[in-house]
Amino acid sequence: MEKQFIKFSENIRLTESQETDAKTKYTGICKTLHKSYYDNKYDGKTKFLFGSYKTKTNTRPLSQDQDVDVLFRIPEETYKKFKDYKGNGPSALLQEIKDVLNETYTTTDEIKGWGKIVLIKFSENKHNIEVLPAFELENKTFIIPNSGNGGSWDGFDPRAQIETFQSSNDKTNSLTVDLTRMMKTWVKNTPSLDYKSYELLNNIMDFLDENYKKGSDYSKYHLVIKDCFECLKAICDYSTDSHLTTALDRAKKAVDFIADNKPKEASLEWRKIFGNEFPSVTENPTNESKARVFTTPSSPYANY
Amino acid sequence: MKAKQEYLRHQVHHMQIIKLTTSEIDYLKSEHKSLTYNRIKNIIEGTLSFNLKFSDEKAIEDKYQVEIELNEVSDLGLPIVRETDGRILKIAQEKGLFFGDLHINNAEGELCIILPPKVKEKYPNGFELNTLIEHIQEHLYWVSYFEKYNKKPWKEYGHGELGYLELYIENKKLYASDVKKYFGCKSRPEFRRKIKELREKYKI
Repeated sequence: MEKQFIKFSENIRLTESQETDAKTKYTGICKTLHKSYYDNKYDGKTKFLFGSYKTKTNTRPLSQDQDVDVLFRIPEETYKKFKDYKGNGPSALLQEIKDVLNETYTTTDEIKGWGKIVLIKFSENKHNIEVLPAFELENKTFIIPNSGNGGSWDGFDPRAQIETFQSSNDKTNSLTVDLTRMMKTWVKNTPSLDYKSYELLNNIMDFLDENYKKGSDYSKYHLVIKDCFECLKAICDYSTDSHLTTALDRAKKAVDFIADNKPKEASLEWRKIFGNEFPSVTENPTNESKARVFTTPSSPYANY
Repeated sequence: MKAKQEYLRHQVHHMQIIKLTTSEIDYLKSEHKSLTYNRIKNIIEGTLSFNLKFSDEKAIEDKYQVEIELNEVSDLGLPIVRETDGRILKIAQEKGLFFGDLHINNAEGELCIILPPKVKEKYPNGFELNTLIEHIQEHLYWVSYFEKYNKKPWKEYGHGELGYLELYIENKKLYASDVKKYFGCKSRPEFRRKIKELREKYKI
């Protein structure tokens, strides 16, 4: 089902215009912040993209919770000002960022694993931007504000995550990004499943490192996916076990159908896993190359 | 429908018996493993599979349950062939057709695979098992194709007298005597009148 997997991969990948839309939005936000914090002209250096928009593991169709994660590098004096702040410095910094952006955008707070960030909402609710102000240290890691529990300044190293991902993706010849998008599509298509993106990504990278170090071509994607579900099931906890069992059973069925040259039935199983983004096959092929060709048949007759 | 069924006549006379040779049994074992030869009943039975493609039409892979009754052989030398699973009857039923329209002669699934005057052309050396099996496969391809695409992959002969009229029009010289015999015409003028009458009736 090579063709179907190629098409599926295309179907769930963001279009160029969607990528441009995201870029226009986060660039606009970082430009606005840059103007307030720096005297020089904005050249993009104060912006640092991370998360799924950096790794391009985001998926189509876009949903409301697919936000763009962008980090804005604050000047040292700003960091120092808020670090020495008497009250909750991190909270005050976030408030200041919000105030700057509020002149142009609608903002709100959003709780993340690393504390609060500022969420900029757009009218059509697509490509909302999560902006995180951060101070970059000489070792290329960042200090970020955590406004919870009275406020603290935490270390943050998005570069390490990105490098790990890119290393895996290079080694597997882009299978990492492809498989992550497909597995995210499965998660999206399984509403009762709560599988955090970063956890899924780490599990996929571990799986590929053990089983498909050099990647795979589309003709074997059905096996990669089945093997991936098998691996995830082996390491999953109770909350995801039943979802993975169902997905694995379906993937096994689909693999068997492919072996029996029944792509129609296989596509139905893949669609149960991934939803309608997986192309449906309407008819099973006949083995034309092995068919006996005849040109002078007898015409049927009925004797009544 | 019932009246039509009652009207069905199978015109061949079952006179001869065919006994398969060792090489024919070997051919069956090697080429059609899902068909078995029952020596006691003198019947070939089982699943007949095919993967066929007629000319530029689509290929079809399919299978039918069949029975080749070697004890009931027509005077033209062909055994009775039946589709035993009732699939063709079912197809006809689903498409709202009389089963004869799918070329079976009775509710037992007896296939009408050839117009009798054509048998000599198809089987110049008399009965040959491999020719018969390929012939049945092609006939079943026709049925499967119609089932799948609602159109006929190649032209069939009309039922009964119409089929014979079409045969006569196809090649007057070659088939005149067979057609004349079929209509029971004793003289050429009588035959000419019959043909004229049928051409008017069927507007061909």
